[in-house]
Amino acid sequence: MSETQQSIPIGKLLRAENGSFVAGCRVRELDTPALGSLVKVKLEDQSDIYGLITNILINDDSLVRQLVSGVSIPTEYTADNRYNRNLPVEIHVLTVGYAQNGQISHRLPPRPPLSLDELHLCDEKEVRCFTAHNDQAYLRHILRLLDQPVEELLAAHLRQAKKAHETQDNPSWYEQACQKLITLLRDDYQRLTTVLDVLTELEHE
Amino acid sequence: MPVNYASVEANASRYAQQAQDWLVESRKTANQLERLFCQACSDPQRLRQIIDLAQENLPKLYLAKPLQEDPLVGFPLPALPVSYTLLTADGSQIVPSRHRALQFGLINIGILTVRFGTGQPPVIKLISELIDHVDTFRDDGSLISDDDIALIRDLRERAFVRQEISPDLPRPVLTVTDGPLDIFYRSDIQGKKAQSAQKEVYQLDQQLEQDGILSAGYIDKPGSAMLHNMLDVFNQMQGDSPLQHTSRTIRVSDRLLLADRIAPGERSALFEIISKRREDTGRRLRVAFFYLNVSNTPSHPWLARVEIPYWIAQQPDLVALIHAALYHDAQVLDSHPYPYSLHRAHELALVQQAEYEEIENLLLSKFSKAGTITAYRSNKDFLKGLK
Repeated sequence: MSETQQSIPIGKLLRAENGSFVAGCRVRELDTPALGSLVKVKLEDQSDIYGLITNILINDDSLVRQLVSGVSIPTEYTADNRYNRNLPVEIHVLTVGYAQNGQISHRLPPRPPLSLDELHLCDEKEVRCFTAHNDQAYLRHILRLLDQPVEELLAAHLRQAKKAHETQDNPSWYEQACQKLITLLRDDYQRLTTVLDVLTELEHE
Repeated sequence: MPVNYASVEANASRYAQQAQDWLVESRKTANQLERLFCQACSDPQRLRQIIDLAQENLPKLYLAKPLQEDPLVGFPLPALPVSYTLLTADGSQIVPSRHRALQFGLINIGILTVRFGTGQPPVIKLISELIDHVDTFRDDGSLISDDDIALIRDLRERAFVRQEISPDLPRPVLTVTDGPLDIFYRSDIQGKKAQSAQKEVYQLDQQLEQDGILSAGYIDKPGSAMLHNMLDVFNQMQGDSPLQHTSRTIRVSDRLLLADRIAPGERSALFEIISKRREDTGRRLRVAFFYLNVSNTPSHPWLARVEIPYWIAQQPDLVALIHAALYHDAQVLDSHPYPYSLHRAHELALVQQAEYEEIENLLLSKFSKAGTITAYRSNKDFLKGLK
C-alpha cells in the first residue's frame, strides 16, 4: 500500500461529472488542501481519478449572515460556527487524468467518481509520477477553464510540482512544463503573455 | 391555491380596525395601570403586605410580588466575568399521531456547553429518547397529547442539562432553558402527574442550589400580565372599584407596562411569581423573575422575562451574573436579540419531517414479517403527503 493510500482523507465527494467534481470537508480538515494541489479519488475498482483543486468555497447560512452583522462575537462562538456547525467547505476539483491498472492517463476518466468517495491529497512521489507522465499533457485541462483565474491556478500548481521534482534533482521538469504551456498557448498571444508574467514571478520566488 | 385570498381580503380591513381599536384600548388601560403602578410601588412594603393578605384569602392567584428592589427603576448592566460556563438545553419532539403507520413519541434534546474564557468551541450534545410504547397512552387509553410530550421534554431538558455539569467546567456555571422555569403553566396537566413533575423540578433545583449551580428560564416576547394582576389585587384589597373601563377584557402585558422604564441592557426590579391554584399541594419551586431589555436601541425596547429560583434572587451577585450573561449572549444576534446559546440548542434539537419518517421506517423494520401489527398510514395522511 502506498503512502497516499494510508493518508487521511481531506473530504468526501458531494457531486461529480467527468470533467470536474466537488468534495465537502470540515474546517478542521482545511489545513492541508490548497489551491492548485494535486488530489485523487480512489474508486471501488481500484482505479484513481486525479484532479487539481481549482477553488475552495466557504459556505454560509442564515445564522452566519446574522452573526456577520453583529457587533461582537465571542471567540467561542466563532469556533462553534467553524467547527461544530454542519457547514461543509466545498473543494472544487478539475479532473486532469486517471490511473487504471497502474497506467496513468491524462485523458478524462470513463466515469466520474461517486458521491461520498474519499478525496486524498497526493504526496510528492505521486505528484512527480503524475506530472512527469506523457509530456505534461494534463496542462491542457487547466487552459480549458473559463471564468476562473487560470494563471493563478497554474502558478500554484507549478510551484508545488516544481518543488516535488527539484527534491529529486529534476529541475528540467519545470522548463519542460513552461515549454508545454508556450506550445499550448501559441495561438493566444494575450493569454500567453499573462501566463509568462505569472511564471516569471514564480521563478523570482 | 392554498388560501382563498379574496375571502381573506374581504375581512382584512375589519380585522385591522379591530386590532387597532384593541391597541388603543390597551394603551388606555396601560395609562391607568401606569398611574396605579406608581401609587402601589411608592410603598413596596405595603404592597407586599396586601399581596400576602390576598395569598391567604384568595383561592386562585397568578401575579408578581415585588422583592426588596424599587419596582419603578431599571438596574444597569453589570460587568461580565471573564471566565464562566453557560449550559443551555432546548428540546423538540414527535407527538404520536393516529394517522401515522406507527404511533410513537420522541424527545430530542440539544445541549450546548460554552466555556467562556477558554476560546474553545462549545461542546454539543444531542440526546434522542424514544418514548416506550406503554407510555404513549394515557391512563384512559387515549394517545398522549402535545402537552403530555411537552411536559416530558421540559423535564428531560432540566435533567439532562444537570447531567452535563462536571467539576472541570469553569465556575460559575449557569444553566438556561427556554420558557418558564417551573412547569405550572401547563394548565391542562392536572392532578398527580402535575404534582409529580413539580416535585421533580423542585428536587432538581435543590441539587443545583446545593452545588451552587445557577439556573434561569428565558422567555422571549412574554405575554403574561402578572403586574396587571398584581395591581388588580392591590385595587381590590383597597376596596377600590375594578380597573376595567373598557367594553371588553384587556390584559396589559408586563412588557407594555415596563418597556419605557428599562433602558437597553438594564433589567427591571426582581419580583416573585405568586401562583396559587385550588389543587396545589406539596412542595414546588419558588420562582422569581426580572425583565431584561435585550435591545440595543432605546427607541425599540425588547423585553424578555428571565425566571430564576427564589434562592438566587436573594443574592445580588448571582442575579448580576445572570443579567450580564444573558444580555451579552443575546447581543451576539443583535439584530434580533435572543441568546445565541439557546438558539443553537434549538437548532441542534429540531426534528425535521424527513427524520420523522426515517425513525418511523426504522421502527417498522424492527417488526418481523410474520408479526401481527399491520402498520399503515391513514388514507387522509397519505393523500396529504401527495405533491
